[in-house]
Amino acid sequence: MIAILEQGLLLALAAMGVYISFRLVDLPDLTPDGSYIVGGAVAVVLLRSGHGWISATLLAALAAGAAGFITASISTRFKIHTLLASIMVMTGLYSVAIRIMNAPNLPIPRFTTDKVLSYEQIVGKTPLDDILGGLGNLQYEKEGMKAVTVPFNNKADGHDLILIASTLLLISFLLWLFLRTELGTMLRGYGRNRFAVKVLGVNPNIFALMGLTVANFLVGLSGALFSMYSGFADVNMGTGMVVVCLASVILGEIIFGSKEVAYGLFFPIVGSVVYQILLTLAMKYGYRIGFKPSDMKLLTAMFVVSVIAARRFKKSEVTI
Amino acid sequence: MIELERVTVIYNKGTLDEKVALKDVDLFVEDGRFVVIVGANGAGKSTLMKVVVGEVKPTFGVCRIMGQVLKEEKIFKCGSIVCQDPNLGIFPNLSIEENLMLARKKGFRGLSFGRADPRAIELLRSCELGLEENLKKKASKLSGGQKQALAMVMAVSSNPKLLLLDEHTASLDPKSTEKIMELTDRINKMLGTTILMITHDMNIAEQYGDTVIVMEDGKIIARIDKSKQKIQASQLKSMIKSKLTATT
Repeated sequence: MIAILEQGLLLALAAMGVYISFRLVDLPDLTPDGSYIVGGAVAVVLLRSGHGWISATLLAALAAGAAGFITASISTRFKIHTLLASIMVMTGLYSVAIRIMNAPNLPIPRFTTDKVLSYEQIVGKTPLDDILGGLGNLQYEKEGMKAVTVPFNNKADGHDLILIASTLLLISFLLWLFLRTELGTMLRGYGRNRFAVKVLGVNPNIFALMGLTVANFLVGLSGALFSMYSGFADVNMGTGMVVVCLASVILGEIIFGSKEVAYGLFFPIVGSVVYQILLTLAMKYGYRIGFKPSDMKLLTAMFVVSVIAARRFKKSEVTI
Repeated sequence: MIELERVTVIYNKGTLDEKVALKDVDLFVEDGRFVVIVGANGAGKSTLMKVVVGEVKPTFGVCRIMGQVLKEEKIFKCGSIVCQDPNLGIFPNLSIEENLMLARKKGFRGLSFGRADPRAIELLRSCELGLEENLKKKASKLSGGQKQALAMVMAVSSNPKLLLLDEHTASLDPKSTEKIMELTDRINKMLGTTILMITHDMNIAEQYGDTVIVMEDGKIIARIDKSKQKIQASQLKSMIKSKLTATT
């Protein structure tokens, strides 16, 4: 259960980003499919080059935020719909991520080195170490290598959960605080009425740039932390991210109903955890009805479509 | 305040769809005046408004606001507009208080925690629509008349020198129209805001404003200064009608 919560809360960061773009500023943005990978790729490459995990995470999130900024710039500058602009940026980011990693995927080693790494050096302890006795960390350090520190221990003992939950709470609190300020209030207002922003003597495009940058910053943060959590970055790890996050947001909206707590920032958090629980249940018991884990993305897409269709029939206030 | 000098606007110039929307229009609106523009559909009222807000550039002639040719964003820094659709002037997802907080001043905002201007709340109270008692209520939950009243108060909260009203009562019921027009008149008299209002409601043109401008086929066909000519309200309606029929 702890592992489910950990993964759910990691997803919540990305879902919060998607919530900002799709709901708060009302700009459908597919960049997260690419910015999630960029976040992961930058974090892993920086860790491998000797950076600490905090600076690697922040720089990775900034790189992903820059991707959102580029999408918004293309959209506002050339008057292209954000959907189209984000498809182009997302496609480009696939190549960018491979360039960053110089490979389609990259593991996080235990030690940094400019030498070719052995399997043990990359994955750490192997079953053979127990029988034959491993080299030990000291041995690597004697060879002039620097230990790569990641904040997660993957032991499901609550350490990782506390770390992820506190990061999420801190981000949520900062966002909530920002959305209460005059600038944040105007950003929320922009999502529903761009003309009124213009009448107040402010260029509405600023809010498109701000909204998509913050949204993709959070997606990149999620990608970076997930890479550290799972020990690798893969160029395909962002595929379908927007749909998964959107499903999480919708789940949260269904659970909360019309009660908008903290400007709706709890929708993606609760929704992501519920989504992760549903995913685990489907993988654990779904085989009985012929369900395969690879079917989950199809089911997620079908869920999002069915909710949109149901809302259209009910003429609900919230649409996608 | 507003100065239009021989303004002509031609849409799709040089194409088969070419349409002359304004022809040689001269208009001068002094500071603090309340000018009402009336005319049938297609008379050029909306194009004239678009020229004033900088949305449409005159094909010929010049439009000056406070003696300067200004771009759209600059015009909105010194003026406000309230349109026919009540939803255009407000932020429907924000509370009444948040709407008023944003409307307090023009331009970009920082990371401060602002509050609604007490004068704006007072103005809201004077509308007698009960809005001041529900400041936490979301603007989307308000009626059309309440939304338009909020939009009007928001439009004048930043003390703009110019208020442009584009058929702002057209979508309201008679009772709400009366309340909104009373508020409009109060804004002009109490705050001294220059008002340029478009309407095709003759009754409104009769009762409100200092000057009535009659437009037809892209031209100004009459200027009626109520104060100078000392016209009775009932006389005005027939004057406007006679001006309009004389040209057809």
